[in-house]
Amino acid sequence: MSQFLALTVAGIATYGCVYALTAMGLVVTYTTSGIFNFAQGAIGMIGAFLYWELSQVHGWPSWAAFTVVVLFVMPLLGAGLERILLRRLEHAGLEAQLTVTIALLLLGIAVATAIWNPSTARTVPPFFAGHQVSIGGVVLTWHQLIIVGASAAAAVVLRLFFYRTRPGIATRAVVDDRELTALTGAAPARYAELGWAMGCSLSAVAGILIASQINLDINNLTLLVVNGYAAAMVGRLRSLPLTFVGAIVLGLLQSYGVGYLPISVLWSDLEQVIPMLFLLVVILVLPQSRASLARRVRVRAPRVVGRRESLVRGTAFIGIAVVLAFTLNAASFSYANRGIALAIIMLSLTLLTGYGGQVSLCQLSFAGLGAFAMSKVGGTGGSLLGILAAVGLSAAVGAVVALPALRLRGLYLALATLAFAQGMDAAFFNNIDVFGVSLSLSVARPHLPLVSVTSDRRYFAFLCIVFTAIAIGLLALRRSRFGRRMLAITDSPSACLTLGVDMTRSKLAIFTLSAAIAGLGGALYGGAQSAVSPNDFPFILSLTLLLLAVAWGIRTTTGMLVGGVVFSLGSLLDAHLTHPRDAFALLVGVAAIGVSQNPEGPFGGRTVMRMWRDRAGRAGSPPSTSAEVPPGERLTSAAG
Amino acid sequence: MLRVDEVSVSFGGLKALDAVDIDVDTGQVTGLIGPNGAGKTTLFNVITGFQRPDNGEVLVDGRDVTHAGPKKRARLGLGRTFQRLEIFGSLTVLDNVLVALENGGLRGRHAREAGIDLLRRVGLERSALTQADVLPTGMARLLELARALACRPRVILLDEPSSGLDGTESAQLGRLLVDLAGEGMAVLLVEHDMDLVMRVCTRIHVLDFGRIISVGAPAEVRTDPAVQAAYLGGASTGAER
Repeated sequence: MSQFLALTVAGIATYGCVYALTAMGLVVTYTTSGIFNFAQGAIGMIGAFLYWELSQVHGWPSWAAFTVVVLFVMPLLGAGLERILLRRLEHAGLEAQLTVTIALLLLGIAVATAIWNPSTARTVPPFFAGHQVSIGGVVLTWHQLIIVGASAAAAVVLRLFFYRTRPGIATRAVVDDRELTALTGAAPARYAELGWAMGCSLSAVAGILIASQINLDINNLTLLVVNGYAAAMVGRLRSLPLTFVGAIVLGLLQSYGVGYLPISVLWSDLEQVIPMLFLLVVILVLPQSRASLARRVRVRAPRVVGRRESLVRGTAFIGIAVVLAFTLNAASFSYANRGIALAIIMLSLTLLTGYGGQVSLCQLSFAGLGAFAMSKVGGTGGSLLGILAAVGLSAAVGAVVALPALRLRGLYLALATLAFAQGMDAAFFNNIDVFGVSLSLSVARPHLPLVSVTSDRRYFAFLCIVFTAIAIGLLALRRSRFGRRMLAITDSPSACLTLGVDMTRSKLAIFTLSAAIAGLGGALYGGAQSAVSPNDFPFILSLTLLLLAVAWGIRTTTGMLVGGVVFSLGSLLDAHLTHPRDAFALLVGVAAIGVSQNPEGPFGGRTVMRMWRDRAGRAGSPPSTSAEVPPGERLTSAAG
Repeated sequence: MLRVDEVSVSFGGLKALDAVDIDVDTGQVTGLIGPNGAGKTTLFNVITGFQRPDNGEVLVDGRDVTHAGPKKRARLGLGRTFQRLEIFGSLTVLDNVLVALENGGLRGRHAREAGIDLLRRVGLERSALTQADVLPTGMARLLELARALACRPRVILLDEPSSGLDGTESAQLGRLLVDLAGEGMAVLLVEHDMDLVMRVCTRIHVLDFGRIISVGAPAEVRTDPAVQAAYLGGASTGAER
């Protein structure tokens, strides 16, 4: 009984209330701006580090450091982010909104890593250390009481603000209909700014309060606050009371799980697995709205590359690859081979997100499954059965993930894939029964029947040929009947329903094929390095992969090639550049924010000449007529 | 062909549709008019399965489809266009129509020829290779119509199809709708262009505050005092009617 009480107190006071604070922050930002803040965890982490810097390094009193961080710095940061960055995304697609906040998450981690050396151990003392009270035989520290009090106070104040004050009611009106509210004289942008200021502040409170319970670690703190996602989803990102209840339930589940469940090999890291399972279950059982007639977001699609052009480009690329294979020095191949393998994995994003409009944050998990299958089935000889197993396993798992996730759209699907990726990190990749005690698996290069590709040079040429084949295949798919249907589903699910299009089958096929490509890329990536470890597939790298794909044009295969190579060269940059630490993540974050509203990317076919022509065309005549087909011209369409 | 029986829909305290009855017969263009906010688009959404009614039934050819989803209703022969455009902007105009034709089983050259025929019918054949998201509103509405026709619907619901068209184009559209009805299709037309409605519709239903306030031939509806009050802002309210 005493253990149960202790676990209950820990569940509520240590985890539940902290999750409640950060989740309420998420709800506030979402309800005021309509943007889900993936960076909530990173912002809380930065708040905690700032508090540590002021209180522990500069010797400020705790209350002063807390006040400055929570009431001044973080609200200013939130308002600044909203005004400079997020306000522009009001009419942008979900893809751009997700990209920017994911970029902010990575940027937050990168900035913190650059400022505060992660290898230095830091601790934050609890408030009123040494003071405690005993209630019904259960000891509660004053710090825990502060956590409970702060979360309860935040819940009550926010509830009163949104339902009893004019600005609060106006804020809710903004969420329902921004334009209509603006007509009444209200300023929607002001409320969004206020929402972001409050959200960042709440996140910082959560970060500071939890920091004393765990080590002040950049990744741990970010991920712990990320667990607030699950609680926010219980309230469907709108209801504060339900969010609060969700947070407490999650905290209790986590506490009871750690206390009572046997630690098995599968669930060796329960603290991480439980919130992700909770998130997955909540998302999957949440009643989804029926197909709605959503607002249209104008995203200019890239030019469709024709069959002949894709073949010519592919042949030219293979020619260049062969020349490079003979001219690159030996040291370059490790980066080049990894880069091309990553580009193959990124092609899976072109299919799934670029064409299919489904945002996945778990592509590297599929790649890891591919590497695992290649290692176990391909053996030391690199049997081609290993490649088949890699494709088959990742496709099968992709289908299993996709089946329940098919009813999800946009943000919900992205969060479900994120939960899956985090679960895979904790339960699969860091499992010694899977990756061995050394947490490393050797992966052989495939053994081809006629020619050996075991040398770095030949493997480079082989990877380039595989990349080209998949890229040409994807472009052909884009021009095909299936491709038309795929883009139609992305553009207007509602119209597809009225045409009787079977969206479930199409979405399942896209997700499965995308996972298969990622699995194949993972197997080849393993071969490029000879071995893989859990560090190759953490979910956070899946986010980097997505950002790079967006930055270089997620709908273009050339963009994925460059993105893969840049990703690989990022490790070279980090290895040689000691200041700032994690410079590559900084660059990726900035680049992704910069180009998030141009899904075409630099390789989308809008050359300088074409843009000039378009501009001239717009100036001279309406766009509809400038693109008309002259009478008599043969209609070949995109399928030609 | 299409029967809406005692359908009611409420959004919170607002009664968007109140025991609405409508019959749409084969071979006729049936009009559905009413001031903004009368519930026309909500009724379209109920008929096509995007909105579940609180009460009432929707029957297609005598078959109750009230609980069927939009996809199933489409396969039973219900087609529609949207007030807020729902075209496939990433695709060309021809590809928009091909999606529907290929879903119906046509392939390759046959699908392409059928697609061009449909585009010709709505006057868009010269824009076949234009990317759909650069079309002006009027042309985009015609594209939605062509795409809906590609499914060979038995009943077609058109939500303000003439919006964005000039007088000549609107007249062409009117002739097309009459032709479609002549070919055995049941057409339900929501439209603000009263000239077009009065010209092509055999029968008109007038909706106001979620209730049918008048049904009849164009000449009857035109002279109905309740309709005039609804459009000209008479003293009577929906509750009084």
